[in-house]
Amino acid sequence: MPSSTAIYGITYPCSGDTIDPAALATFATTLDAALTQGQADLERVTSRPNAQMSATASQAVVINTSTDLTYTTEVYDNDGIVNLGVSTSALIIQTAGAYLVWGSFRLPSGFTTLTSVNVILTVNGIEQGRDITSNDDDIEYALSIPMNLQVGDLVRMQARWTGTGGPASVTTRLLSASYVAAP
Amino acid sequence: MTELIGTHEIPCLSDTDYAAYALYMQCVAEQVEAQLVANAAVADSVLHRPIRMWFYTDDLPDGSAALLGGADGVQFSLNYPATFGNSIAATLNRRGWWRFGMLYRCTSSAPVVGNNRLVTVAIFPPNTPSSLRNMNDGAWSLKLQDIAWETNTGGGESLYTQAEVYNPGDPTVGENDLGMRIEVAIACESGGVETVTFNGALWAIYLGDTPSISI
Repeated sequence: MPSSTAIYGITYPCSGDTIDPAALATFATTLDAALTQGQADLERVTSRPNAQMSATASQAVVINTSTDLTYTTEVYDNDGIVNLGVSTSALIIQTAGAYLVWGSFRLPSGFTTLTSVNVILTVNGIEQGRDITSNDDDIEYALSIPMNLQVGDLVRMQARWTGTGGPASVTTRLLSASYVAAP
Repeated sequence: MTELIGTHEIPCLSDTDYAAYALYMQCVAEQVEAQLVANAAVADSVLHRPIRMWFYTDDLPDGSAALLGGADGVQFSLNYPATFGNSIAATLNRRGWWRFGMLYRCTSSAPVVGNNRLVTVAIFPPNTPSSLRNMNDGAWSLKLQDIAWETNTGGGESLYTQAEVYNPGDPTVGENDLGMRIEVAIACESGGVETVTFNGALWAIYLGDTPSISI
């Protein structure tokens, strides 16, 4: 009666079993399946979920109003996180775990006075972190924080500004999520 | 006579022991499985790396540096050994590379143009006396700092530091650095306000030991 290894199920004949081509084929087939599974185990590390989406066209941001930024292009995505047909503003998490979420946008020139500029990262509409500065226009603003995310969570970046004048818009923007740790 | 082949020493039958086919196949199966299990364990340790995020609030004297002693809570924690403790002054008892970061926000007192706020995360060697766990002349091994310079009244409430990578196994630090501590200090100036309330978060992510760094 053939036996199998405990975890990967590699099947081998026992003493007294007939070792014919079928037994050898079963051995080779189950060995191949085990190696395939082993490869998959490693690929879970080397192919952790990563996604980023971007846009370059100007998007209006009304003064003193937190505004979800939208995107037009999938930069990369190995886990179905970017689905612009479903949402142009949110990364949609497909694998639970801890992620480093990073977002940036460019504030174009032309503001008369910038009192504050906010970069806000949200999950399902709830703020997770915010950076507020009062530097200048014509520069990039960015924020990165870790998040513990569940399947279906919607990750967004918001922009907000106070001041006077200006085009009241943002231009180039990126939003990405990189899987850090499994639960 | 069976010969061992290759770096994984797979047994190979010779022309004198074909009677041992069954035993041979069992040996190969068990050896391959053992190697796969070992590989899977390495992969699992990378995937299930410790990560923890604390949040806290504190009131600090204006213009001074102060250590934050304890956290208000843990935002989330995955694979984080219980022995690391719950406080902000966490002990890092795992050798390897860590990534630290913090996000800090002043929640009161409008800033004044020309003033600055400084936020610092420091890593201290184990068993550092509390008298040396300060930001100015302390025995820190690493400081992460961010500074915000106010250019307009009413803005610039928050400070943000995305950390560097630190390796307690660095030979210049030494073997005894298992048990490094994370400490947090804030120095701020905000136009003469005596007490400033901050809230924020600090996080620590284990990246792996030296041969298996990845993020």
